[in-house]
Amino acid sequence: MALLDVQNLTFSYPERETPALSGVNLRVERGEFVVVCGGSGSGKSTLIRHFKSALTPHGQRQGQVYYQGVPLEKVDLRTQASQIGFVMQQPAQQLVTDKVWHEMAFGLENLGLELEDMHLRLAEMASYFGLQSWMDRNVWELSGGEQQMLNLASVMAMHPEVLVLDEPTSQLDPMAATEFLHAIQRLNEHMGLTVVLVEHRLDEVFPMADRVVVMEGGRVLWDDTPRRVGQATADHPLAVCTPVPMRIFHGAYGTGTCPMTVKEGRAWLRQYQGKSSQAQPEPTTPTADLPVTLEAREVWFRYERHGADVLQGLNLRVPRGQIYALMGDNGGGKSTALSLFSGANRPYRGKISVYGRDGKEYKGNSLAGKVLGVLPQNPQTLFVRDRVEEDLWELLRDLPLSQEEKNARLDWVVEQTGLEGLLGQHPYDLSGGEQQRAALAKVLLLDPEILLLDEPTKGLDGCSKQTLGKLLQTLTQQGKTVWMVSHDVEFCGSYAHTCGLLFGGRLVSEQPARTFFAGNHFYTTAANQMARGVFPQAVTVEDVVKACTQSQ
Amino acid sequence: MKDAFARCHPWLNLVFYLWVMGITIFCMHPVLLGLSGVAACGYLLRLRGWKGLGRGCALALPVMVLSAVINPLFSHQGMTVLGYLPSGNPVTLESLLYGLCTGGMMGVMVLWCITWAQVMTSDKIIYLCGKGFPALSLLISMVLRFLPHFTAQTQRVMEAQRCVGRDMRQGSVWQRLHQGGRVLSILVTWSLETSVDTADSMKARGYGLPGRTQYHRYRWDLRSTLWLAGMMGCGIAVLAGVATKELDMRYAPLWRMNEATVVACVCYGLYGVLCAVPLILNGVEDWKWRYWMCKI
Repeated sequence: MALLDVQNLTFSYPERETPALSGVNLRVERGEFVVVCGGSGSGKSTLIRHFKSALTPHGQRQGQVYYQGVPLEKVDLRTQASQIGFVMQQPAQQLVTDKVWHEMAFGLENLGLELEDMHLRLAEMASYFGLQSWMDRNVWELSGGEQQMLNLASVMAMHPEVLVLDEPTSQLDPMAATEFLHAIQRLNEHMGLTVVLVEHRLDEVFPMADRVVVMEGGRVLWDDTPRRVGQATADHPLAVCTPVPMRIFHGAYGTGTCPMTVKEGRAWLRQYQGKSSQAQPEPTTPTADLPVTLEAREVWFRYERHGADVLQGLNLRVPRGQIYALMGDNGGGKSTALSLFSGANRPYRGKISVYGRDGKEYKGNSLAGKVLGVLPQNPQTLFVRDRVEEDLWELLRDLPLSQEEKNARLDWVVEQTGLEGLLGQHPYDLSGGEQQRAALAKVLLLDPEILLLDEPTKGLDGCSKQTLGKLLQTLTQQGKTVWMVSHDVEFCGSYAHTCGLLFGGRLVSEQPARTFFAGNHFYTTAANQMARGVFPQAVTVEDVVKACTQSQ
Repeated sequence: MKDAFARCHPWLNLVFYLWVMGITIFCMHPVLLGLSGVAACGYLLRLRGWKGLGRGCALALPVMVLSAVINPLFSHQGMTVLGYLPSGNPVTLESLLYGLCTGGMMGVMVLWCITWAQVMTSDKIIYLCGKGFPALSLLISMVLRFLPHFTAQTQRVMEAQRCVGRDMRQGSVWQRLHQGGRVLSILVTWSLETSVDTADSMKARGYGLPGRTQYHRYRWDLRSTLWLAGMMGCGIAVLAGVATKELDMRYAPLWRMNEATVVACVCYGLYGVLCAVPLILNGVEDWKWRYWMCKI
């Protein structure tokens, strides 16, 4: 008997013509790790919300969901609450109470457990997840990754049989996301917990999963082992989300077993050893003669008078018409550097100059807006109206332009960011990638010469990242400069011209992207990690594929 | 938490404050006020150091002085006339005393309230409410969680708006108001959106099932019972003194305080002990530590 069994489920939201789910069949066996993926609007979230009566959306439904052989609506709510654990997307918004210990106890209180039982369960969870030292902290003082870990621990305290997760890592930075996914994998392997995970970081979850379900337009497209699904999706738009070794294997029309991890990929790539080296990647353009747009010279900064220096003599030059990516770990000072360039903070020593002029000379709003456009980490914070078009007009209206110029500007921006079909929607209803583009559109309305982006790929799936990367490339071709702060090695490897690595408040390396990644051992793309030793200069998937096909 | 009293069971904390504050307010007796004031100062010093005590007094003293000055100007009851105002109304010793005591009472209450804020953390209040009003207790916890979440989002939205040239700190009053309204309206939308997620998370974790219990991490032990009994004993003794007029203070028409009989002195002593409970707890603890350190 399957733990969860979806039989011929068809569901449509009220007042929508097309059903969100049509004829979905899915069986989840005890102890399985199932990954559900698909583009935005493919119905994956709608499907997993049917696994719990309390979350089932309203609308027209046919078909049935069985939990341990019993129709779900006949399973009483107490059993559902404790046995079917659910973790959602937004880490902060799932938290109900103010203290970590109270949050962990919240579900247990609802189940009506005795005090002694609760003490024991909390103790168990705190030691399993390593939360002992946080127990007395306020939940809002935790980072996004810690908050999501707390959400997981509070659900696990209720001893669920199956854990259902709806894109739990989409709001986390890559480090925290990896840690979270490993925690899930550990639960699955050590405790035999059944996991149903909706996720778009497929490169990370493919090696963990027993089965991958691909959805499109409310239907199950494929439902098979990761390797076979990888094979099947090779020509599907979703392929950009699959693990890098898989993409290289399919790109180079490889034979044999498809590799899923870098380790397997290296073993497979060894067959090209020695045959290579006629494929040389295109030389990078020298940046020394390009005019400098942004420059930081010996910049020192700290937040509090007696605090530690966050930036310690930062020197940085951003050439015009390029994508410059500043990388580094959390707390390394990346976002601080961005706040100095945007004028939100001022260095206490050293100089920030924009087009050779001191940052201080730009009074008030003249810097932010006209020369610099800043895209905040959370694009949602830019929206103030309830329709995308109104939101854009809201900003455009006050600009000193004639009506024709305004219309032309709007048309240009909408075309650049591909917002045509979305103008009538509420900005909060857009998917992560669409929100990012709508926010970028708003910044572009001001026609800034330099764009500052803070973690632009956070929460984006592979396809949206590709769209964003191409959009940024188009903008630089038009003479704009893009300076971004990012954790995303793959994205920077594919699209940035120059990369800098910030560590301990200083720039420890600044090189053209290709040289940068080819020179690093750990801080580099998966494609480079895999091809190192065979094609040392290859950084992106395309590089490796090209090198493979040319050497055959 | 370093303070020994703050680490006690919330019920002990609450009972202590009810007795001390209740007696301070309802028996406006100069000696009791003095004892209460000294103990409050002592505990504040222990909790926040000289700087904290100074700040507390800077808040409490003006209240006291102001009340002592203003009361005789407007109240002319009492038979001991000290002099006459330019308006011809008498200034009496009784109204001066009454003003001083009312002010003293308010000042002492201010000092106790400062320590209350330090001792009665949100956790304890939530626990205490949970006994009688479980829904209210959860609500307090949720509000305490939501407020910082909301202010943080407000900060982020304002910062993002500044980056597209919509700075709330610049422009005419009208422009600022207009911009403020826009930010507020989107924050309302955001709050609604957020609360939908929170509600889902609560439902998913079984909120609304009958028979909800309350988790807490406080332990009631024999020591708590003993301290509670002691505090109740002291409090009841002082009340008995008041009821039997052994402790008595009259302000009008002629001020008169009880004689310092043996019973009255015992009552003073007991109230002093009651007010000093936090200090005694801390003192005993410090002494024990020092004793054991010496042994080692």
